[in-house]
Amino acid sequence: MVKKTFFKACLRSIRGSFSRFLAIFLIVALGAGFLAGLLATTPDMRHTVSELYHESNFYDLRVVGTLGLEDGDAEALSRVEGVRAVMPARSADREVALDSGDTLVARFHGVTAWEGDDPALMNRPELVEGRWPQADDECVVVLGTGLRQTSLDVGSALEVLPLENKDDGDEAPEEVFAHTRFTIVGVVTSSYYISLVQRGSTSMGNGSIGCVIYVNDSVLDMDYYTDLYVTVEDGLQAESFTRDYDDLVVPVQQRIEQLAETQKHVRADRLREDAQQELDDARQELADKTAEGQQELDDALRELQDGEQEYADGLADYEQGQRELEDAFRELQDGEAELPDALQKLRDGEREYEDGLKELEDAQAEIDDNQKELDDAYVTIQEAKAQLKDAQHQLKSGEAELEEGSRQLDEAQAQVDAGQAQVDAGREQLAQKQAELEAGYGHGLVSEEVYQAGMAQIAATRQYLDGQQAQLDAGQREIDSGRSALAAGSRQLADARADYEDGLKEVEDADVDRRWGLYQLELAREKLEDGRQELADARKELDDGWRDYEQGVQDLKDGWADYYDGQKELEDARTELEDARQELDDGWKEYEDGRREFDEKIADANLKIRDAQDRIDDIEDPEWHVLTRDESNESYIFYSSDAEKVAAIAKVFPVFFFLVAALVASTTMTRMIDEDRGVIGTLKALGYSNGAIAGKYLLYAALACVLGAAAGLAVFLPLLPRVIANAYTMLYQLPPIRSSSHLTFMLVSAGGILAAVLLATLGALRGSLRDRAAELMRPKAPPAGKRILLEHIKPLWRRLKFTHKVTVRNLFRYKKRFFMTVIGIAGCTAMLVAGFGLRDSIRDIVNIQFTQLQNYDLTLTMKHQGDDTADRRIAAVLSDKSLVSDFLAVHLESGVGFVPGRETDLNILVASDPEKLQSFYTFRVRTTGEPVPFTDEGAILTEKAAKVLGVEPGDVLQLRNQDDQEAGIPITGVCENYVHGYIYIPQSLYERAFGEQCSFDTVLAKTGASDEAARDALAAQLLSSSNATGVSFSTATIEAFNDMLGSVDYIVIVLIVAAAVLAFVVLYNLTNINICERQKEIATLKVLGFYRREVSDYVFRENILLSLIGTAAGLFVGVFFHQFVVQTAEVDAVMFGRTIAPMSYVYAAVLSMVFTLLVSLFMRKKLHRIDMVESLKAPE
Amino acid sequence: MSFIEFKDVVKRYTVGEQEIYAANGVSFTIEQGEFCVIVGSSGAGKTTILNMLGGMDSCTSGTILLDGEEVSAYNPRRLTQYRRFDVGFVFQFYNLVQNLTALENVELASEISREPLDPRETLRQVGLGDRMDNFPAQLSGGEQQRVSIARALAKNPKLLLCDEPTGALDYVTGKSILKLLQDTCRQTGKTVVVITHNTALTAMADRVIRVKSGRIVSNEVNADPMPVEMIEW
Repeated sequence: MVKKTFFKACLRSIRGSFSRFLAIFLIVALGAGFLAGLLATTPDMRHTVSELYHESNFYDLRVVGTLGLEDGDAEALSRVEGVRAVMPARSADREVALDSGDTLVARFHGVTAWEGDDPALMNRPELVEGRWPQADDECVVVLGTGLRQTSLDVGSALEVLPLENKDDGDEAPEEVFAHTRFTIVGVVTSSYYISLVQRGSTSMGNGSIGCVIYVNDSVLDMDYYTDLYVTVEDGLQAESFTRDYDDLVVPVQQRIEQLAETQKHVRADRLREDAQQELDDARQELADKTAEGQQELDDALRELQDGEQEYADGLADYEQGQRELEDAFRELQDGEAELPDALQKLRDGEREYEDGLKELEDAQAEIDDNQKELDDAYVTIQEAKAQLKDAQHQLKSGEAELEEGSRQLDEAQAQVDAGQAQVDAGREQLAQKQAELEAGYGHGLVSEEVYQAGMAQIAATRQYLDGQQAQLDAGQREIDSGRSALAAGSRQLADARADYEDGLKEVEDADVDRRWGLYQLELAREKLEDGRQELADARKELDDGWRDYEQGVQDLKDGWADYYDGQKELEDARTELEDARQELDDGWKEYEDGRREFDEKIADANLKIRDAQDRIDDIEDPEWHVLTRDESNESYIFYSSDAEKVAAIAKVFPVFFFLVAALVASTTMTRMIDEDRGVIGTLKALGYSNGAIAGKYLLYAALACVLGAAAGLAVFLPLLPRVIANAYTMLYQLPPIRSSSHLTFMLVSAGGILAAVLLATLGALRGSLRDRAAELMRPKAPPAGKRILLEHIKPLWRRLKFTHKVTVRNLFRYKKRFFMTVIGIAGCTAMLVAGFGLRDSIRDIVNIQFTQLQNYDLTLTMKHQGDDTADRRIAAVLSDKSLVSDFLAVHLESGVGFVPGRETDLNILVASDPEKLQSFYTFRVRTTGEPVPFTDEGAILTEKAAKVLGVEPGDVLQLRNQDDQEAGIPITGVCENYVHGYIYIPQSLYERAFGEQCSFDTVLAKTGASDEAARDALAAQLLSSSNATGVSFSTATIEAFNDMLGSVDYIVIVLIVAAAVLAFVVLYNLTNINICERQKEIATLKVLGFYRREVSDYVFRENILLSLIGTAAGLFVGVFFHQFVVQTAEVDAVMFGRTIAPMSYVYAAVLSMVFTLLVSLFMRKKLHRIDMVESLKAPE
Repeated sequence: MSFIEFKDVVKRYTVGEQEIYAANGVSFTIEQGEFCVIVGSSGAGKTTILNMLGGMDSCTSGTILLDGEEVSAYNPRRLTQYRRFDVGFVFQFYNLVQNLTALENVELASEISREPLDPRETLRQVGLGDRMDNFPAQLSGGEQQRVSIARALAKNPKLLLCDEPTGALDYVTGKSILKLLQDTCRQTGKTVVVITHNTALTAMADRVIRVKSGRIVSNEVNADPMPVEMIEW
């Protein structure tokens, strides 16, 4: 019963003092909620992504090999203990052109199956828009941010740009894309790329990956895998980002690394063998080809030589022909020259013939005339004869005698004449014979004997002839005598006769003449006939001559024609020969060219083969990298560190709330107990035990706490992770935040605050319960007004208005309230200072690191140091003053600095020219700004590393370099630095310490490229050299930090809101208590005629003053708080700035005061509601 | 015309569905310079009248005139000014600001007045010349009430309103306070209105107004007020 009544009284007291209850409720809700919410944020953030990883079957280990990987490797991996599944995968980076005309570097991932629960299907993307690719020319793109993303919509296309030839001379890299144009059919999110900003770097284009694209695996035409993704057994059982998870994965990683030692050689050896085989084949082929080519060349040579021979023959033939032609020409000319003679001859012959013909005709005519004459003569003769016959008959008698005698004489005469003729003929014959003989002898044709014989015969014949002659002459003379006798008889007769005879003779003569004439005519005729015959022969001969002539002319003509033909033929032959010559010359030239080409090609091929051999010989032993998510996934790394940052902040900020909550609760409870003095006294008087009485207030406090904590947890536990995670959605593609188990946080925060409030309540109760009932029932004497220290400073005090005096005195009258308010407001201000300061610190990184310390804006990394084309290409860019104002080659490697028990990662930067390095990096002490000298004597260590290691100038730092060699390096200075840890070592010192040469493979350059296009262009220019492996601009880092700044902005906003809430709760409580306690005083003032403003000033001046004090304290505390937050939040690699910008103090102070004024404004109403009638009431 | 004039003043409160008339047609007048006692038992409505007269509360209907001014028509700000310049209050429980010394408490009022009296002089007048720098907690009840009166006087008001000024004081002290008030009235000519349930005080008043159940029972002028010393209760 007692309990029931008690409980009732309790509830009633809550109702009765609701604002008080609310105050505790609120501050507890805030304190517990904020603490739990912030504590839960990091686990929730981790849990959310961890779940995403589980759902997408995210890999645990990623194996990459410098020479690629193959199925055998995957198989070997899958046999490693603890490996759950292995997914071989291919990816390639390429520049792509978008529809918009932009180009950017895309990372292409080949996917074998788009959906399914196969454990070997890892890093599954999730489709958010569109569909999965079906054809090889389709792709899905990972959701990203930025303007370019707008060109990556479903339905748009992208074109893979052809590979650029990296260096002059080198052959173009192998094309691995089976398709080069893709249509985007879907948009996905990928657990692999939850970071919207960090997608990794590449050696393509501008060096950073602009978008990620998934395509069918068959699109990537490679005979090796680029990655093997591995999940480990039980990997799903641990939350990612936690130590438990690492503990699961690391042993498997180590086992795989062990396996890698042997497995990594398998592919390399095979590659080497294959390459060697291929090369040997190539070599063989070259040998074959060489022989073949040589054979061909020899054939060609032979052919040419044959041709040459043929040509020579041809030429000889030609020359022969030419000679022949010349002969023919001469002959023809001769023939031509002969022709006129022949013609002349012919003509002469013709004329002769004509003459002969004429002669013949003349002769004929003569003959004919003669014939006629003769015929006429015959007629005459016949007449004469007839006349004569008579005469004759007369005479005949006489004549008969005479005739007898004459006949006898004639006979004799005839005989003589015949003999004479014979002799004459013989004589002539003889003479001829003699002449012939003499001629033959004279010519030597007739021998002497024959000649003599002939001559003798001739002589004999002549003698004979002479004898004949003589007989003849004798016969003649007889005849002549007979004749003479006859002649006498005859003369008579003859006279008669003579007459007759004369007649007769005449007739006879005429007849003889006629006969002679006839004879002559016959002769002539004969002669004519001969002539005629002769002429006919001549004619014939002439005709033949003509014919011959004609023939000759014709022949000549033909000869000329032939000649000309021959000439033409010769001409043709000449042309032909010339052509043949040309052809031959061409053939020779061709042959020479072929020969030369052949030689060159063979030399070239040999060179290539030698190069190839060199390359094969140079194939380094491959390296396998077995990487955890933390080592291989940018998103994981950045997300992990961002989550940690939240955790660090979560450790610090709720402390204020907690502290203030305890203070507020205790103040409120104290006040409540003070107010309840009478009641406590009454209860005591009634006989309630101290415990029972205390129970009431403890119950009250506990109820407020538990309800407040419950409400706070209910609100903030889901809210804060969501709000903060939401802030990170600017940087990450996150699914809705998922809550992990928060029981611990709930118990810690609620329990902590409950304990604090109950302790405070007990503390307040202790005083009251000690008093006797009677004392308690009397009103507690109001705290006496006291003079304060300030009053003793008379001049100042006197100048204060009494209203101010009240304020000042009041401040010191209620100490608990004072501290509550000051701590609350200080906390609020400190939080704001820290929040804004955090921004400043991160901005400092950018501002100081990249504008004051680092005087270069471009870092170029190269494969090696050398002096080949690739380097010349780089050198050409670097020495172009319009692009690069200055540059310095340094050696950069990663190492570890350590002292016993502590170590930190360091970038070792070795400078050949310490002097020049100082123009690229400002070495100075952060606090004083004094320059730190960099000499050959020792190294400079960056501040953060020095602090972590506890190293000071003059110490010797143990340094382990990339090759795991250790050396002690004297540190001569510690310099201001914010990003990464560096140790700057002069070359001489480095080489002395480590005993090894260092290659200057990193170039720091000052470019002053102000816009992105210029930077991209410069990067592309540098990366076009195969020797360049990476180009990074400070601007990229600045942007990354600015992104970080963006997320910090959200944290700052959360802080501002938190600070505001804190300020409100505290000031509300303060004001509430103030007003409640001083209701009467305020009523009195009102009655006294104070204006509303004067009344609120009278009360709120206190608040404002307290807020001012709190703010001042907060600004002071904030500095330390900021330091703490910054040091907690920053990771080893980065040192945040340590200074807070003046404006941040101003913001913090102004905001704190604004909160105060807002509370005042809010509470003023309550103030004005106070009834003046209160003033008439009795004091409580 | 009277210095103070109440005409048919009604003050009505609504509590739930019930209407309570704290003042139900109150009419009276008080002349300048009078020492007036308004007397009535608890709940008679005298505090309501005091509140309305003191400008702490306004009436539902009727007219309240003070020195020719219609107080009942004042807006809150004008009312504040009325309290500030025209009325001096003396509370039953002194209502001193604990954090201020006696002098400062007086100054608290004088500083906001138009023609204040010198706070020190006033304190001396009320007999606290040597306690000026004491805090209220260091003063006795009577002394505190003197400070309270001094605070009211220092404002140099037209009207001094006292709510049971002796209610928290013992007999002797109470008498001395009443004497102070009466003397003040006599010496300064200020109109003093004292509200009390103690009818014994009526004897010393120039005017006695009796109140009962929100109405004026009587308004009598006492032609021959007794000195305080003579009054016994």
